[in-house]
Amino acid sequence: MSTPATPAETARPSAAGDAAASATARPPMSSEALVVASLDYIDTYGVDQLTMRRLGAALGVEAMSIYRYTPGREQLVEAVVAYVLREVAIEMTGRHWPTWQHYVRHLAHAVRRTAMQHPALFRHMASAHRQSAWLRSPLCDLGLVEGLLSTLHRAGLSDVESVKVYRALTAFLLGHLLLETAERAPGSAQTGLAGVQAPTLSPVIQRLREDVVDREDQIQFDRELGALMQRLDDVSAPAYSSGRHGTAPPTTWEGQA
Amino acid sequence: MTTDAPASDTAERRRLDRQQIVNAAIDYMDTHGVQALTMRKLGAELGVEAMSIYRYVPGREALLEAVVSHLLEGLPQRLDRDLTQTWQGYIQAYSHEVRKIAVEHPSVFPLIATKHPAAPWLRPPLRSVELVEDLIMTLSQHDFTDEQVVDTYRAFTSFLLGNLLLHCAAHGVHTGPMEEPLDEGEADKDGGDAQRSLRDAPTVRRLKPLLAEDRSEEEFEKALESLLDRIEMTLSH
Repeated sequence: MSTPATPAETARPSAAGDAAASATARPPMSSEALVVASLDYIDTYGVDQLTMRRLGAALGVEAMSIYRYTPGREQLVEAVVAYVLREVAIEMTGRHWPTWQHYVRHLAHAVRRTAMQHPALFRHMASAHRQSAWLRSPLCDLGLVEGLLSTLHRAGLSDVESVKVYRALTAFLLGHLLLETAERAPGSAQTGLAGVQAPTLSPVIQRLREDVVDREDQIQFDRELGALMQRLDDVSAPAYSSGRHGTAPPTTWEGQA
Repeated sequence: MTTDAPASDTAERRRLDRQQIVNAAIDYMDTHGVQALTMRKLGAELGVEAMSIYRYVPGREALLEAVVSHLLEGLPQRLDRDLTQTWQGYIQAYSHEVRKIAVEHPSVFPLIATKHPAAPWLRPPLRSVELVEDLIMTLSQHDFTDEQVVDTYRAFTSFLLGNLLLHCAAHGVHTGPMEEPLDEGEADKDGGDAQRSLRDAPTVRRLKPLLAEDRSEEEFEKALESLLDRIEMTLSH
């Protein structure tokens, strides 16, 4: 609390068209500036640590005045999530994608970058409940989902196939990135459950532990993304009539409602 | 010790033991979510003072840890031995045992998805040394190299985590503070924003029924099969 994180100083590769962000070094406060400051605070201290009082201290304002811009802490964190996902959405729009696979790959990497930049926020996103349970973490921003689904649609995937891709991609990203961000999130040591004895480790596990630490996460991510893409190719193969599946009927989920 | 006085004797408070407390905590969280659990509420549920719970568990964190251990405990022994003759069968059986926990306790499962405080390098949801040890030993017995074991372990954990957490998100108790009504796209406050954007998201709006369908079991099977295929490929190389 004595060292307030001055938000605007840490130059974030903010999305283009975000002119306001550069001007936030000093008040006037705005909802946007508040969101950016909160993001910085979360990056440094974790979501759990964010309180209106501390945020106020970091910004040099009364906690009460923050309520002018947001109804409460929950909504503020929600807005930070939306802000970060919107940056991804912006990155994805207005480009040309030769195939939907290019789009999905790029999206996966963009989400990964975001997760690595904001590990604490990402971990929060993964656990938080949203108003709309059918939007799946981490692709839980309407704009982002619309971009993905409409791209798949234009590429000729059926509705069912598109949703399938969305589901497989979210499960992949969530599992992978949660594990990847585990060591990076500030305060992740505290979020663990305290009070257990360190287990005595068998030699096999000891070895594993050393192995695991050495692994290149990026390589692993790429490899598994590659495998996922291959699986998704199969999902949509009939739509491209590549004949890979011979006479297999167009992929549909049985019992389609 | 041997013959308990019948419960009718209300002067004598109900006997507690640690297991009973853990079970009650799971029940409570199944209904109300993890956040809602406090020692006081749990005491009320058990009909005892919060203080008397502390005689068995040092605190809330330790209680949650005990819950996780309890849910994962003995999982390797529960696997169908017929299936586990092959490594594929073993992974299948193992996956379904873990999934069962998520399905039966969607509100509690996210706890298992947290990092182990004493062994942060254990990848959730395989959050106990016992589980990981069993996995590693079995794969090694099936002639996996160390590298293949580690790769499988990593791929397997991220598969389980991603798929099962999404299942829990769809089925778990609302864990956050309950002030705001759960409302799909028509909520108040910043919900106005969500509403506006749903109008701007015609594809999402059109596919919403499909998106809202529960396919988690089927997805789980498909993704698991593909994972097995993938491991198999790396083995043959």
